Amino acid sequence: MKTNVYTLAIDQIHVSESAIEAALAAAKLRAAKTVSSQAKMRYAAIAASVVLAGAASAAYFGNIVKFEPPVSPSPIVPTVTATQAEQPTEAKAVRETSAATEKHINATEKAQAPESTEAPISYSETSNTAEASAPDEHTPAPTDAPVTPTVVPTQSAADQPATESDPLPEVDSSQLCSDGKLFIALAPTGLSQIDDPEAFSDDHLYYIETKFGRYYKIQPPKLDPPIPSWIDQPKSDQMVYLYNSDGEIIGQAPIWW
Amino acid sequence: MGQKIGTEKAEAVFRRYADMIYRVALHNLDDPADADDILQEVCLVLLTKKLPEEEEHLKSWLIRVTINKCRDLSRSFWRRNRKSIDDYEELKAEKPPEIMAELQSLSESYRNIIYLYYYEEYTVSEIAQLLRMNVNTVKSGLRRARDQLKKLLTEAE
Repeated sequence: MKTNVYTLAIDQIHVSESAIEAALAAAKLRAAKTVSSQAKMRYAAIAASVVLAGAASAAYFGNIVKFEPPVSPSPIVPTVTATQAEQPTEAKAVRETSAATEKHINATEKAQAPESTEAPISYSETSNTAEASAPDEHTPAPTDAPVTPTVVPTQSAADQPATESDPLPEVDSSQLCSDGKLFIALAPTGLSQIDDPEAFSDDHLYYIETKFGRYYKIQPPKLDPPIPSWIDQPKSDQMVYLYNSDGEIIGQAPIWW
Repeated sequence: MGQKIGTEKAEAVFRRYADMIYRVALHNLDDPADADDILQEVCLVLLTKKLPEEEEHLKSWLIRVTINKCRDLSRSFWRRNRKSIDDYEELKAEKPPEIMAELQSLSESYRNIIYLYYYEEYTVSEIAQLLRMNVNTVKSGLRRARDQLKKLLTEAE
């Protein structure tokens, strides 16, 4: 370096060790807070409009529960509201929901038709999950309740939760919950907190994170009244992570939709 | 762009370039307290962002980030509307060298050009790339800054 008045003057400028330590400590703290607050912002943004409709009957349904995402990615497809989801005894509501589900399934089916080798989509709806399902089944059996339509899934994939060894197909995020529904299959293993409805605390909110970084609030399971379940043919599977309100991962499960 | 480095590595990079970051910040803001703030801002960037892998790119990237942070701070409402206590009292424990005061009479881009050319020994074309300026603009800026500084220093003597 050429020495001149300027460079000599600049050479005198140094940061003190204490200033470096202070900057490092503050930056570390802020980095940690930034991550935490970003996660909380994402939680808060969707928390108001997300409803879990069937977690209580996870045991009865072989750990299959249904979620509704906060915003339907497809504006033209009606989203089933929480109110609708929680009125299982109203045949009209069930029919409307069934129609929406069918529409979604058909739309998704069409979109994925060239790649899909699965059997035709079938799904089942019941008004009373407790009556409809046996504890070790993944799909509810048809009941006498007003259900339109009632079809028992034929795909073997519906009977078995996806495992970690299964390939995770790349799915466009726009396909996620295009009808406003999200189906979560909670793997029986490694999810003791989720398998046991008692593990859900009313004092805490739980969140799942999909591969696409979307967060959904899970409402603690409700046992009374029973909530109907819409069982969809799994199109693909992804792992989801269950968070508690502190942002800690408390479990993971494959996601179906 | 490279990869996000671990905290320890980011710390090491920060310590290595702390003086440089501080000097660039001081050139741009002429306030040791603000320069300290910039030091922290750049450290936060180091901890959270992906960094260039090559050492030379890392250095110029850090200069770029520091200048940008200084600009952000200069434009902030807080800085534009505050009245520093230093305007009333001489509380600065460590004053920057006298020449820094003279440098502050130059425009921001001139100050950066002078610093990068004379102290960091970047070439004109490298400075142009770093500051996203035309090479000829850097050349003329360097000439004018030199002339201005010469005049100021002569007057000061």
